Amino acid sequence: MRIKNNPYKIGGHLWLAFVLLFSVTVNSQQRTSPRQAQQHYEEGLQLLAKSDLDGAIESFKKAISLAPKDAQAHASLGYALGVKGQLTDAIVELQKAISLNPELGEAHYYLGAARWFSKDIDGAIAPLRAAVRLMPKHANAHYYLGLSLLSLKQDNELDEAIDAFRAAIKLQPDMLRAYNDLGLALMQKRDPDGAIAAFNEALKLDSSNMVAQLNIGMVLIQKGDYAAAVDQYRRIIVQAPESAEAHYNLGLALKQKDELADAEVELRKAIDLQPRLHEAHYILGIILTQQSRLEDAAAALKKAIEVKPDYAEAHFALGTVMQQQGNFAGAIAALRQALVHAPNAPEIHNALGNALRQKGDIESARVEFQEAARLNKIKANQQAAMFATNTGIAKLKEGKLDEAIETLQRAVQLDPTNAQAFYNLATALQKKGQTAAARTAEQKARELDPRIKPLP
Amino acid sequence: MLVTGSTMSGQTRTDDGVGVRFVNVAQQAGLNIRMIYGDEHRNRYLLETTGSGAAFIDYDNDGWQDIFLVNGTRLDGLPPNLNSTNRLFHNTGNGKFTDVTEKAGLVRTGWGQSVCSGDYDNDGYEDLFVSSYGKNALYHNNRNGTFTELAEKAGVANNRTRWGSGCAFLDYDRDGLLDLFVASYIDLDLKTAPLPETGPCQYKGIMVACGPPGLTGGTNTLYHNNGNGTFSDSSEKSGITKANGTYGLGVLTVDFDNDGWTDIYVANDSAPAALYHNNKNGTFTDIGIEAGCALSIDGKPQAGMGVTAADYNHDGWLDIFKTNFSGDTSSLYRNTGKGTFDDVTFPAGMGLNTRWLGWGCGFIDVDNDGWADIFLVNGHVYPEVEKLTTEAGYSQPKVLYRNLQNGSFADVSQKAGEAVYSPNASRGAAFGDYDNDGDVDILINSVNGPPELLRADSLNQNNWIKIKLVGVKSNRDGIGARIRCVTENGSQIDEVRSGGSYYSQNDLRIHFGLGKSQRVDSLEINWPSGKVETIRNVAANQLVVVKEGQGAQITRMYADKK
Repeated sequence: MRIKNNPYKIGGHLWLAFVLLFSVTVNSQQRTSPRQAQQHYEEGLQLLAKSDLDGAIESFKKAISLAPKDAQAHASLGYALGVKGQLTDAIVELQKAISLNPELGEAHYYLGAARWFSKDIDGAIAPLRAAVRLMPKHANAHYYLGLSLLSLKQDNELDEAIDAFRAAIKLQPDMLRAYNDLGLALMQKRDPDGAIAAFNEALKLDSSNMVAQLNIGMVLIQKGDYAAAVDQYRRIIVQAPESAEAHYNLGLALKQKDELADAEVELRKAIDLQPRLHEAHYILGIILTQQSRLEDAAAALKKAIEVKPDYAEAHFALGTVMQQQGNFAGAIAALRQALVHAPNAPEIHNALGNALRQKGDIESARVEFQEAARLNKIKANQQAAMFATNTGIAKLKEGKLDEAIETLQRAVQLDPTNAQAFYNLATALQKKGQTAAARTAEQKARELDPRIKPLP
Repeated sequence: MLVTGSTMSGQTRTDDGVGVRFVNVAQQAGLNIRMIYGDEHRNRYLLETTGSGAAFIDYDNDGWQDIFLVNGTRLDGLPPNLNSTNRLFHNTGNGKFTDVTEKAGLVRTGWGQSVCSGDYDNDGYEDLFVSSYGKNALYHNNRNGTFTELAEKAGVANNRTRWGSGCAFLDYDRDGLLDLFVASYIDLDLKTAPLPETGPCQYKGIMVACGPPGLTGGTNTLYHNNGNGTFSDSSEKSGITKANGTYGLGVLTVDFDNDGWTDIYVANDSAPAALYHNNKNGTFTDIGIEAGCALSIDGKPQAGMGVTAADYNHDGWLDIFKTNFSGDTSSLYRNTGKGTFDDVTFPAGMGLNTRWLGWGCGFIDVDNDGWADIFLVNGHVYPEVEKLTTEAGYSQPKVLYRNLQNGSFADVSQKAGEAVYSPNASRGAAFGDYDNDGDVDILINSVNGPPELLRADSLNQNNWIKIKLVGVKSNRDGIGARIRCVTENGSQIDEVRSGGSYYSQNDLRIHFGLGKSQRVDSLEINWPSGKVETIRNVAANQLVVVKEGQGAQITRMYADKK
C-alpha cells in the first residue's frame, strides 16, 4: 500500500491557500463595479472570514446581480459554493469568472480545485496549468498540478508532475507533503533511489513522518530489497505498534521473501488493527493459497470482498481458489464477478475459460479463451508500439527522418491509440516536408490526447 | 557413487528423509573450463541472457555417458584470454573426463543455445544438433570419435536473425526416422532491437535488456527426415507454425494422451505454452490452452523456461513440470487422463518458492524409491540484479522437491548437500548416470562460470533398473518408446526422449528406482513402430539393453567395474 496524502485533508489546505491569496488580490485590484456592488462584495468577504458561507454566498450573488461582469465576484461566489460542497455550481461560477477575465489566476486555481474535488482529475489539470502560468510563484498551484498529474497514473505525465513538485518545493522548501508526493512520482517513474532521497528530505523536516517512513519501505520492496524493507517496517512498528499499514507492508515484504508463516502473522495483526484493510485480507488469501490452505484462503478473500465489493483482484483470486477446490460453479460465478469490475483483464477471461472447461462447458470456455487472446494481442501490440515509438523518437533526434517515419508508422499501426506515436510521426513528417500527412497525424494525436500541444 | 558404511540406514528413506547427497565434482572430474555467455555485468539484448544447454551422450558407445556443453560468445567479441567453443568431454570410466573437442571436430564459437541428440541416420551412433542464434549445427557422428557438421547440407541451418532455441529429435510420423523440432525464441535483429535505454526497459528500477514482450516472436520449425541425410521443413504443412504463443524456449516431447504418437510441449516465455497434439496424420494442433497446461492457475502466461515430464502420481499418465520466472512459482500440471491437465502447483506444495528464476529441470528419482522427484536449477536472467541487494541475486540455489508419494512434494534442498543449495548462475541441466552406479547425476551449464557436475551419492540401499533401447524397425535410439516397469510395488512409466529440460539432453537410458524390490516383474516396451515387447523377471541393479523384437541382449552391472 502506497500512502498518499488524503485528498480530502489536502483540500483544506487548498481552500485556505485560496482564501489567503484571494484576499491579497482583492485588496490590490482596482474594482470597476458600481459602489453598491462593491459593498456587497466586501460584505461577502467579511462573512466568508467569519465562516458564514450562506451569508457570503448571498452577498456575492447580490454583487453579481448589480455587476454581472465582475469576474472577481463570480470567482468569490464559486469559492464559497465550493467550500459549501456545491461543486457543480461552483464550477459554473468559476468558468464564468475565467470567461470574463482569462488572466484571473485565482479562478483557474480554484476551478482546478473544484474539479479535483469532483473527481474530475483530467479536467483539473488545464486550469491548474493555467494557474501555474499566471501565478508562477504560487507553490500550492504547482503542488496541486503535480498531484493531479500523478493521480492520472500515466507514465507520460510523470515528468511534468515531478517538475511541478520540485517547483513547489523550491518556492516553499518546508512543504513536507510535496516531498512525499515527489517520492511517489519518482517511484512510479521507477527511480527508486530518487524516491528514497525525496522521502528522506521529508523526514528531515519531520523525522516522525509516518507517510515517508512507510513509503521508503515500499520503495525497498519495489527495488527487490526485501530484507531492508522488512527491517524498515520492523523499525516503524517499534515506533508505532498500532500502525496497520506497517504490519500490512511488513507482511507484504515477508511474502516476497517466501517467509509465509511470518507474513501471515503480520497480516493478521494488520487486520486486527484495521479490520477493513481490504488489501490485508486479499494478500492473506494469496499466501494461504500458496500454502494450499484453500478453505482459509477462500475465507480471507471473501472477507476482502465483503469490505470492498468491487475488488476485482479478490473476486479473481477467490475464483481460482474455488477452482482448485473443484468447485467449478463457484469459481465461474466468482470469475464472472471479477470480470464485472475488470472486463479487460485477459487473465481473468483465461481463468474463467479454464473453469468452464473443467465444468464441461467447452463452447463457453472457447469464447473466453478467444477474448483473452484478443486482449493479450492488444497488450502485446501496445508494448511493441512503445518500443517502436521510442526507437522512432531516437531516430528523429539523430535526424534519420526516413527511418523515424518508418518506425513510427509501424508504431501507429500496432497501436492506433498511441497519441505519442502519432505526434512524433507528425513531427517527423513535418520535418520531411510532408505537411499534409503531418497535419493528419497531428490531428489524430490531438484527438487521442487533447492535451498534446500543436506542432510549431 | 554408492556410499556404504555407517550412513547406510537400511531403510527406504534415511533419517533425514532424502536418501541422497549431491557433491559438485566438476573440477576433480576434469571439467576445468569456464563457460562464456554474454557480458558479465550488463546485457544489452536478451540474446546475452539465455545461456546454453548441456548433454549426457554416449558418443562412442562405450557404455559411459560423455558430456557435451554448448557455449556462447560476447557481442563485442572475446578477449584473447577467453576461448569459447562447444565442449565434448570423453568419460574415461573412472570418474574423470577428457576434453576431446578438437579431436572430435566440434570446435565452434557462436551463440550456441540448445543441444539434443538422436541417431538420425540410424547408423548406431548418436548425432548431435545444436541450435543457435544464427546458423544451427548438425553434427553427424562419424563412428570414429569425430563428427562432421552438416546443417546446411541437411537443410536444418538457420537464417541470420532466426533464434533457434530448444530442440528435440522425434519420430512424429512413426516412419522409423528421427525428425527434428526446433523452437524459436525471438526474431531478433540487433540493428533494430531496442536497447535498455531506448526501450526503455527496467526491472526493479534498473535498466535491463528489453523483451520478449514487444519484440517479434520466433516461429517454431519441424523438420521431416527424408531418410537420405536431409530434412524438409514441414512446419507449415504440419501446422506447427499455428501456435497460440511464441517466444519458445524449452522443448519436451511427450505422448500425453497415451495414443502412441509423440506430442510436443513448448515452454514459451511470457506467452501461453504450446501443446502440439499429434493428429497422427503428419499434422499437429496447439491445444495447450484448451488442455489447461498453457497458463498459470490464474490465467496468466508465464515466463516458461525448462520443462520435463513424468508420471509422478503413478496413474499411468505423464504429467508436466515447467520452470518459470522469479516472483512466480514453477508449474505442475497433472494429467487428468482425459486429454487435459489440472494445474496442481499449489496443492502439490510448490507455491512456497517464488524467489528463484528457474531454468533446467528434471523429474528424477533421486532416492530410487520408485517415485519421481523434481530437481531444478536457477539463476536470474539479468546480471544487473547484482546491483540490487535482493534476496535472490544473479546466482541462485537449486531446488530439490521430494515426491511424498501422495500427490505432493516437499522442498528438501537444504538436506541434499551443499552442491544443491549453493548458488550458481545456472541455465541448462542434464540428468544421467555418468558413473553408472545406479543413481542419477546432474550436469549444469552456467553463464560465465564453470559448469557443475553434481554426483549423486546414494545414502540408502534402494534398488534400480536401467534400460537402453536399440530400435530395429523403430528409430535406432528407440526415441518415443514408452516403457512400463512393473514390480511388486506397482508400475511406473517413462519414455525415451531427445531434448528436454532447458536446452539439454538427458541420458537416453531410462532409469527406474525400485525401492526395496529385488526384481522387476516385467518391462513392457511400446516401440514407436507399434511393436509391444515384454521382458519378464529381471534382476534389479543392472542395465538391460533391449533390441527391438529380440528381447534383452546384454545386461551390465557397471558398479562392479569401478
